[in-house]
Formats: sequence, structure tokens, C-alpha cells
Amino acid sequence: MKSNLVSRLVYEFPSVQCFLRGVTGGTITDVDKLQDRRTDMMTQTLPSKPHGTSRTPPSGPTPWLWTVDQFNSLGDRGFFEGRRAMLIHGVILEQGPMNPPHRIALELTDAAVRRVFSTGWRVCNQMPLILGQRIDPEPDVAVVAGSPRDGNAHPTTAALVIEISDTTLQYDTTTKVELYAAAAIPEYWVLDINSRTLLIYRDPFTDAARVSTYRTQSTIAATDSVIPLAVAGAIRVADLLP
Amino acid sequence: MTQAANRRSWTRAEYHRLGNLGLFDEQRVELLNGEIYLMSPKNWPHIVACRQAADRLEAVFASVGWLSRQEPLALGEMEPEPDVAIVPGLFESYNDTPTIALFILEVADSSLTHDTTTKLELYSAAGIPEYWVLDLNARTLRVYRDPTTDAAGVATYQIQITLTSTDSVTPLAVTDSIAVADLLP
Repeated sequence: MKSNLVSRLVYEFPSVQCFLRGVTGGTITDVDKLQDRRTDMMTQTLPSKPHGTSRTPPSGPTPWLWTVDQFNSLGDRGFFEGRRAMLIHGVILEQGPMNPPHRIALELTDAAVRRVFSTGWRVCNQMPLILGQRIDPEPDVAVVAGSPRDGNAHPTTAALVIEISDTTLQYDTTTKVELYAAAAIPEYWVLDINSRTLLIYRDPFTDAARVSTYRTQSTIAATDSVIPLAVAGAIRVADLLP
Repeated sequence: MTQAANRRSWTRAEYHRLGNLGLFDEQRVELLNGEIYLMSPKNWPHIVACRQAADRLEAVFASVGWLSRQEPLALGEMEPEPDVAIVPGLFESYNDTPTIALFILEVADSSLTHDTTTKLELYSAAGIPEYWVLDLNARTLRVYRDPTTDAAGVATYQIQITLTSTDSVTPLAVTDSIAVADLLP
């Protein structure tokens, strides 16, 4: 009921400021801006400039795409030593080692999330989250229902995914939004450690054109708090920031 | 300092290790610009053209080199598999993947753009003196010579000529001329 109300508000009264469940402060992104973001997402491409050439091949041979099993196998064999790797639509992307602000934010976020998600939840840091045969984004934090001893398979969904954004803000707020929405992850947060804000995405949906996004997007400041959809505990944004 | 995520770039050594681990499921791949590509499936016109071209070129280049067909060349950190390459000297004197070629021919069916842009840049950057692209659809032969770099510092060929089926051409390294019609199926 409440989420229907929120959806109606977003579509019918785009400029109304109101309370999202569990969020203090902030404003709902207006629908026009939501549409613009969707357009941005549709034109966003993966970092694709091949090393050493002046332009990407316009057509011709198909890029080799990896499966999750192959990607895991490569990781096990040490191909990604010292680099944080993820698999997005069959393409392996890597980042350099974490810098201190990112690491600090990750530790703080992990601790804060554990305080509200306790028994019956697993808080995973940069571990596999299999969202498709060729998709494993290895999110900074994924909160998964269950216990560590649950089966041998990696989780295929999460109640909440959090990415800590330092230099990856553009990617985290476009390509990853679409990725997590397409996988119907109910709640996705981006902690922007540079502007010291938390972006909250809720209510994933995929339209007729198979474009996925989150219907509700809001930004809250360091002085604000948020209650995750899945549990009744407030997290202060200031507790997540380095 | 953390960097934004970039595509993983593979070296030749890593590419070979991946192949040896059986990760390519016996599919035909090549390594260009640090990225791995699936080679396009070979349809019959492409196969016919490659055989015909190979037979003609092998005879013409017999005194200067040996002919390699869709076999890898080690050009820096890349490992393309050109349709035809002429490698200087005797086959027996090589004990590893050749790092040079006198001449390369690519038969273009669906891959014309790729062959005349990405591969052109790759082969000219590697200093391959002569590169031909046989365009099966337009029934022309593109001849590229004189590897150089353009004003933007991008590798290319200084001389670029398109020949039709009534033309003939003598490759740089030999004295025999070849009729374009002899290469087209």
C-alpha cells in the first residue's frame, strides 16, 4: 500500500517532497529527472577503449564473453591477484587496489549494517553475487538472507546491495543501477564518499523495452538516517563515512 | 589510488595460459589489443577464397618465404590469425610462433570494416610491409603498403589502392604479377 502511494506520488506529483518509509530528509527525484537518468543509462557504455588503438572496432569478430564459472576459475587460478575483478555481461572489469577512504568506508558500512541486520542475515563484502550466467558484480556489501553454512552455491540475490563510490560514481549510478534493478534487488545504496551523501534506490522495475531502473531514487546527507526495507533499524549516514 | 573499473587487458602469455586451461571450449579465438575475440564462423565462399589465394600466393612467394594459413603471428602483445601470411625464410628455421611477416592477406566477407580499420592499424603498427584485403562482396582487392603513422599518431599505410577484377598487381617482395581475378572465387 505504502509503496503504491510512493509510486503514485513520483508519477503524479513529481515535485512533492515527502517521506519515504524509513528515510528522514531528502527529496524524491522528480520523474523528468528519472527519465533523463534512464536515457543516460541507455547510452552509458562500459569502459571500452581497447588498449593501444584509437577507436573501438565498429563491427567484425565478436568479443569473447566469459561465464560466471569461467570467471571464478580464473580468480581461483590467481589471474586477478591484487586487482578487484567483476564480471559484467561477460566482460571482465578490474579496479586497482582500494585506497584508504574506500577501505575505511567499507569497514564502517559493514559494521553499521551488521548492527541492524543481525540473526538470519549474512553481510558479504566483495564476494560473488551471481545475477546471471555472465554477471557477477562482486558488490562492496551485499546483505543476503540465511546463514554462512547455507549450501555451496554463491548467493543469487540480496535484500540490500551497497556500493562505495570513490572514482566509480558514474558507473555505480548508471550501469550498476540498471544491473541491480534488472536483477530485482529490492534496495540498492551508493555511498558517495566524495560528496558525503547516500543515494537510495528502491522499487526496481523493468519496462516493456526491457530497460530496468529503480522507480524511487533519493539522496540523503551525512546528518540523515535510513531504515532499510528489510529490517527495522536505522543507520546514520555519518556512521558509514570515513 | 583506486581507479575506475577498466576492461581486463590480456598479455600473450596469459592468453596462451587460458587456452591451455581449456577455457575457450575449443572455439577459435584471437588476441587483438589486449582483448580476446571469437573469430567469425567461416562460410563456404570464405573458405574457397582462402584456398584459392593461398595456392596462388604460395607459388609466387616460394623463393622468399613460407605460407601460413590462419595460424597465429606473435606481433607484440597481440596474436592475430590472418587468413594468409608469408613468413620470410624457411619454415624449418622457426621454432616458435613467427614475429614477422612479409605479407598478409585477409579475405573479407562480413569482416570488411574490421579488416580495414582495426586490423589495418594492427598490421601497420607491426611494420608488415604489405597488406591486402580481398573484398568478396565488392569483388575488389585493397592493397596497402608503406606502414607509417598519420597526423594523429595512429598507425596506418601510406599507400592504399583499390583494384578490380581486371587489374593485376606485383607484391613488393617478388617479381611475379598476380591477376586479381585469380584470387576471386
